[in-house]
Amino acid sequence: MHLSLEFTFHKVISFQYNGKTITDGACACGVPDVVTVSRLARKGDVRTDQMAQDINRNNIVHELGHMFANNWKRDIIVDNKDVPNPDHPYNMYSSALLTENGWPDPIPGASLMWRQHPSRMDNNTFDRGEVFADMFLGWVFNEFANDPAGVGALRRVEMDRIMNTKLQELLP
Amino acid sequence: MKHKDFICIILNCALLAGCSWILNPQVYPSETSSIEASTPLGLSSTTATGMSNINITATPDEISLPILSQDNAKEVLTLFVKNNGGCKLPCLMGLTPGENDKAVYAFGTYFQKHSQTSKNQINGIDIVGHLDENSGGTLLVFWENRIRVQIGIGAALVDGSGKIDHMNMTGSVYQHHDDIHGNEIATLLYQHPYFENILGSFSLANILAVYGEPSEIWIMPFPLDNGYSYDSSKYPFDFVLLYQNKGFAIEYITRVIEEDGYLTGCPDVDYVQLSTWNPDEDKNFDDVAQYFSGTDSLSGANADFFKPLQEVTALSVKDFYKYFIVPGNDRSIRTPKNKWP
Repeated sequence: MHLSLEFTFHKVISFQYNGKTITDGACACGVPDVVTVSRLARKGDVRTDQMAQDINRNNIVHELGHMFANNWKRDIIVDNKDVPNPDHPYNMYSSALLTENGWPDPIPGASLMWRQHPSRMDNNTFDRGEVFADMFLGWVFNEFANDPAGVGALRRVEMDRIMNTKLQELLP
Repeated sequence: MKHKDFICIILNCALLAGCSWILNPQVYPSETSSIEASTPLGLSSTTATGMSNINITATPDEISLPILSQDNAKEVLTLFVKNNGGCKLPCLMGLTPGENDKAVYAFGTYFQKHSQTSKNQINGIDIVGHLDENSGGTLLVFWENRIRVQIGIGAALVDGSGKIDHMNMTGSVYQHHDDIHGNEIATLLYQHPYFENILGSFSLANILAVYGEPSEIWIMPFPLDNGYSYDSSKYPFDFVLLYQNKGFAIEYITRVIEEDGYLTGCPDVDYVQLSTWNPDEDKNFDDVAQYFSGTDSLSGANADFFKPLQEVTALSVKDFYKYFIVPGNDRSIRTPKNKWP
C-alpha cells in the first residue's frame, strides 16, 4: 500500500489530547540551536557548516521521536492508580539500554551528533523518554555503535521491534 | 608548584576536592581483594559458600562453562565474573587475545542459549547473548534491590585468521527508581558496594595490586563542547591506565569538577571500560584507543585530547601507583585548567 508522505508524517507525529489533534508537543527548550545554525565547538575543534546542519537536523529528528511516542498514553489506570503503560514506546525496551554505551562515538566538534540528550544533561540520570528519542534518531539513520559488547546491536534490534509494532498500530 | 597543590592526600577530601558526590561510607568488601597471578584456570577450588561444585575452565581453543538454570544463573555468573572466568588479564572472562577464536563462538552461543530476562529488579539477572554475527556480544545485568550492575563483554576477531584480536569489557552500576507517575529512571552511580562485590577485581586498587605500575597513564578532564558549563553539566574526567607489555588498558570514568582554576576528578570509581590484546603485539595509546567507545569515554575519535598524567599534573605514574594502590581511598587528582584547550 502506498501512503503519501504528508499522510504518514501527520499520522506518526500527531496525537490526541482533550479531543484535539495535536501536531506538536515535543520540546527542545534547552537547546537554542534548533532553528539556528550553531558553529559552537570545543576550543581547538572545528564545527563545519555541514556538521552544524547535521546536528540541528538530528535534534529535530530526536524531537520527532518524542512526538511519535506521544501517540500513546504513557500512564494507564489500574486499580484506580496511574501506572506506566507497558505498551508505551518508552517502556518497551530493556533497562540494559539505559547506559552511555552503544551510541556512535562522539565526533570532535559535534559531541551531540548522535547522542542528543546524554545523561550528563540530567545529572547522570537516564530518562527513558530521552534514551528512546535518541534511539529513534539512530533508527531513522541506522546509526548505532558497532561495539563488541553488542549494546549498539541491541539498540538496533529493540528499535526495529518497537517501530515495526507501533507503525502497524498507526498506519492502515 | 608544590606536590600538595596537585593532589589531595587527606583521606576524606570531599570538601576540598569536591568528591562528596561519589563517596560511599561502606567499607570495601575484603573478598574483592585479588586475582592472584597463580590463579588456576579452573574455578573448582573456589570456596564460596554453596558454589564448590561449579566448574569453569578455559583452554586456548575452547571454553567450558557451567550448566545454568533459571534458578542458579545469578549465583553462578556472579562467581564467573568475580573471578574473571578463572584467568588473568589479558585473558578476559576465559577468552584470550591472540588465541583461537573457537572459544568466542562457544562463549557467545552459551550466553545466547541462556538468554533470560529477570522478573523483577530485586534479585534477578538479565542475560542478553550474542546478538548478531557482526556485532555480537554478551550483556549481563545483575539486579539487587533495584541496583543494576551491568557488564558488557565482547570479542573482536581478526578476519580470516581464526584468532581473537582484542577483547572488551564495560562495567557500570546504576540505581533505579520511579518518578511520581511510576515511570522508571536510572541514575549512574560512581561507587557502590554491589559493584565491588561483582567486579571488585577490576577496581583501581586491585588492578594496581595485581598488575603493578602501569606503563603509562593518560587523562582527559574537560567537556567535549563549549556552551555547557561545568556547573550545569556533568562532563567526564577519564583516566586510562595502559599496561603495554601486559596487553591491556583500563579506563576509569569519573566526572570533572571545576574549582579554583583546577579540574578535579577522583579516579577510584566503579565505572570502567577495559580492552585487552595480545601483549606480543606492540600497541601504543593511539592504537589501543581504537578499541574503546562510549559517549563518556576514550575512543579513536578523541584520543588526541588525552594527555599523559605527568605532563598535566605534578604526579608521576609511580606517584599515582603509590597513592591509589590503597583500596577505598577518596583521593582526587587535579590539573590546572589552563593546561587544557
